[in-house]
Amino acid sequence: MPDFKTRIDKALGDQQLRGAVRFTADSLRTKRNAAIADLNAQAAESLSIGTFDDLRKQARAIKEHTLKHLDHYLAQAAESIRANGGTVHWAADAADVVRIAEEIVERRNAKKFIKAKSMASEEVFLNHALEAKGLEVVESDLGEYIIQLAHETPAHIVIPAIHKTRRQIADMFGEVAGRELTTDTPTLTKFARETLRKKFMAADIGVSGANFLVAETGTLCMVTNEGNGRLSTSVPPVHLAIVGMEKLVPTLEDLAVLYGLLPRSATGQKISTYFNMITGCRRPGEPDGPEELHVIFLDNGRSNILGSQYEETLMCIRCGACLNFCPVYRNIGGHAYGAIYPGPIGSVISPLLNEFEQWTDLPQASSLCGACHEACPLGIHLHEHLISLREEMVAKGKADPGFTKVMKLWMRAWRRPWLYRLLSKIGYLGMRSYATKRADGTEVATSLPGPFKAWTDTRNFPPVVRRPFHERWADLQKEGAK
Amino acid sequence: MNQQQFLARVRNRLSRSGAEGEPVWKPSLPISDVGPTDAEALTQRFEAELTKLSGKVYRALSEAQVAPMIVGILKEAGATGSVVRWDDPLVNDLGIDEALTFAGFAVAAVKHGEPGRPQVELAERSVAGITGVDFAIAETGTLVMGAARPGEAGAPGRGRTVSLLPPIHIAVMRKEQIVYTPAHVFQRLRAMGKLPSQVVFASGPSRSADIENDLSIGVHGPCQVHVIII
Repeated sequence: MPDFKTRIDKALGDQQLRGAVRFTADSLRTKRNAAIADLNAQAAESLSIGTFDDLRKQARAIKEHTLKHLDHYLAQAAESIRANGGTVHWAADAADVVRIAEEIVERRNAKKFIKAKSMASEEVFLNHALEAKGLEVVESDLGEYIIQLAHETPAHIVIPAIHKTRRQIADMFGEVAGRELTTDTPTLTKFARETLRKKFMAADIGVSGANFLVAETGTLCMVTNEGNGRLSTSVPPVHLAIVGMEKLVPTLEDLAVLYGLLPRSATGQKISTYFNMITGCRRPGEPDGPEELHVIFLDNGRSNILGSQYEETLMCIRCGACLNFCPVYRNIGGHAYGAIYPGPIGSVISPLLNEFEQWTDLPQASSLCGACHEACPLGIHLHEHLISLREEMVAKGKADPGFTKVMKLWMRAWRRPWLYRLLSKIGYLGMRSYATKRADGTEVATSLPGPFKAWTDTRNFPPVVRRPFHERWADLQKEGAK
Repeated sequence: MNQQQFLARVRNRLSRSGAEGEPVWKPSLPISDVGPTDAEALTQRFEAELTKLSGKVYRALSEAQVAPMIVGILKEAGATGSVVRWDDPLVNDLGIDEALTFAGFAVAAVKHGEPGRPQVELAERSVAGITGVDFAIAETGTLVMGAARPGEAGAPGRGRTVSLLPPIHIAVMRKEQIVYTPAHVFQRLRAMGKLPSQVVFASGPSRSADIENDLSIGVHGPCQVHVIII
């Protein structure tokens, strides 16, 4: 993979991608804000179970409690799943998931997989591993299907194919169909429905993730709009669910809070089209449903986060709101991050979940404005974790040595008032010849020499003023005293 | 990795021994005074919300009106062929089979637990699926349907696919089944005990925005959702 800077440059040069990302993020953000305003207005009239802040507070309480007692709830969930005819597996990492899937494939003599959208399955590169064994794996979420046909990765975790135009989609679908397709949405939708329906009917194993798992009842919950989540878990004879171990909630009643937050934060919907609650496999006498249910609890680095200063990142419900609000994501989109999870949450958890070294530069991709924290339905302090990760990076010697040296010199100078004053004077005099006056009387430097050129190439620099604030402070205090 | 090893790692990170016993947890927000309780107010809200989601709502003044309404909906949609329905008290005694047969449709009730996949294939072949509901939610225009009757062992005439595979879903419900929020449903399901193998919340027809953010209806689930309220 090219380095982060190269990936960013590529994204910034792709006008179509940038336009699509901006459009999608704007539209999701607007809808999310409207949904939350509506929720608050309804709460004022006792027409919803609480305001956004009420729900956020309760959601944090649920997740905090569950994480603190995670061993208990995992054991309880496993017991409930078994009591309903399901099989429980435990995966420490990606290799474990693949091995478990392969065992099921072999026993069932399975050839064909159909998949609902699952970030956990992407995290362990399940498609890749199964395809390498010669098995057919088809993504059934419309966006994921488009991405799969294009051999690309998602640009957004909720709407994966935002960067593809309808012309490109029609061409790819046309190739599968063996005939030309028009570019209107109904034609493309109809083609996807008919093609994927055949895949559902023929599939041996349906794969899904879970948005929540209720420990008390062993119930897997999936939030979807298209219905492919229902199809994947109802039609094939085997249902395989990959569940991050942090997805647990204690009781059914806790779902009201978390499910109240997820669609509103993700797409601005009050409720998703479908909420699918699965408690075990087909029961005796039931006319349909899978004969086998396998639930894989996935650790894959999560236990390292547990009990650490980053523990609250395990509260994330993968709504994508922090992406839509992040000024960096909005400009570069999901691909440039390179990791499975993009945006602010991805910049925090990617170095924590996987090899720290591989993703050390991701925490740099933030202005630390805190918009992600404000948008987060769980109120995760993403901006603070980004700073902590940067500190860790420096402590582990992963920062650019030149930059570290400059920052150390800077720190030394700023600790000595006399040196600080002297440097302010030098700065003022040194920048005189570069400062230009603007219409409003303020000054600006648009082009500086030497190492400062890199800065002024892309933005202006405010020149150092003649009397810095610490000199004016004495006068201001006198004025204030009058 | 086995359960013991997996949980040992978690306990180690949490500094727990595993002998702490059951944690004390009191679920969630109080909901007793949320929303209207009057059946007509709930019905109006449900109707308004589901209509916003492109679902169609019809009011039947009596049970006798239901079957002719279903025939009307299917004719209006230009549907022909076979129709599948739940075998459940909620839809059994409404004269649906007779009315549909008379109108030229082939009607079949859910296949009970036969080996192989006759039920899935039956639903896949059908142009419409007719179900009842266990609850409806006014706040969000949602139908709640169990693959069996919640809280009852051995009521198997439903399954997962009748409301899923056919392009048209018609649900028959009673006014009294409407509650206000999803929270009320979760509370009741919890009180009912053992859950069916699947409970699904469905709010309007299947939708997607994956092609240039343009709304598309019916990519996987039903393209049309019709609800008859008795």
